[in-house]
Amino acid sequence: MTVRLDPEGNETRALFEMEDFDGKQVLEIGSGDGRLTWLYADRAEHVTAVEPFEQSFEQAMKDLPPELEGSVEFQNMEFLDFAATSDGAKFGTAIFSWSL
Amino acid sequence: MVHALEAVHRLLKPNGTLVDIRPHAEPSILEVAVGDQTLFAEPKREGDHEGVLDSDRAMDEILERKIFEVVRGRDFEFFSYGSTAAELREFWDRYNDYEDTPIEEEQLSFEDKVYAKADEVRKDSGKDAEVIVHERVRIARLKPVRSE
Repeated sequence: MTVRLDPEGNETRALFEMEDFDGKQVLEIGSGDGRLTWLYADRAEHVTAVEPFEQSFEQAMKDLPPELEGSVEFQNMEFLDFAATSDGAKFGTAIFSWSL
Repeated sequence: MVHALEAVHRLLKPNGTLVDIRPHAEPSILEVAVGDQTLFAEPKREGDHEGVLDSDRAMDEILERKIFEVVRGRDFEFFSYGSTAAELREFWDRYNDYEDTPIEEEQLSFEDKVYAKADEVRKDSGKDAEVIVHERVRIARLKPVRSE
């Protein structure tokens, strides 16, 4: 048996209660291995997922579903470094994914 | 953390949304259960919530300064299941490998004992017994309230 995370879908339900991702430009901070990203990314127009830990970043890249290629972009860097090089006010949704 | 929240404010559209998902500053509970019956439940680790408390303080400051306001929020329960305590522990240790702060010896020893007790209960409870890490998590929707 492998470890099962939130099989009840409590996190997914709570996430969709909080935000409608349809057509949004989403910034996810601390995206880890993409566990949360995969829950909503198919609804968003584009996801920029920032993760500083290389091992998690590589896992996310490996697990990226083919249908999300082109709409999900992973950045392997600290969020503040990402923010310093980003133009302002372009995201409709930002998520701190267990990462603040 | 305050800087990160300020940066998010700058990167969000004026009508944008920040979703903050964070565990509570309290120990996760290690459980053993068969179906709906909980046979064992003890805190997984003592103390060690400084990171979450730092986040709480950063968010409090941002709300105080009226950079964001909470539109709504609620708690949810997050469960992870393994067939053995060792499996679940290895998974979470690997998952949290990025944490810079090493676990103190005392906390590690506490955790060793709790996992060992949970596995004893699991072994005595038949093949359907599962080991569970149970966390209480908060989720909040916030709106930017002014330009910086």
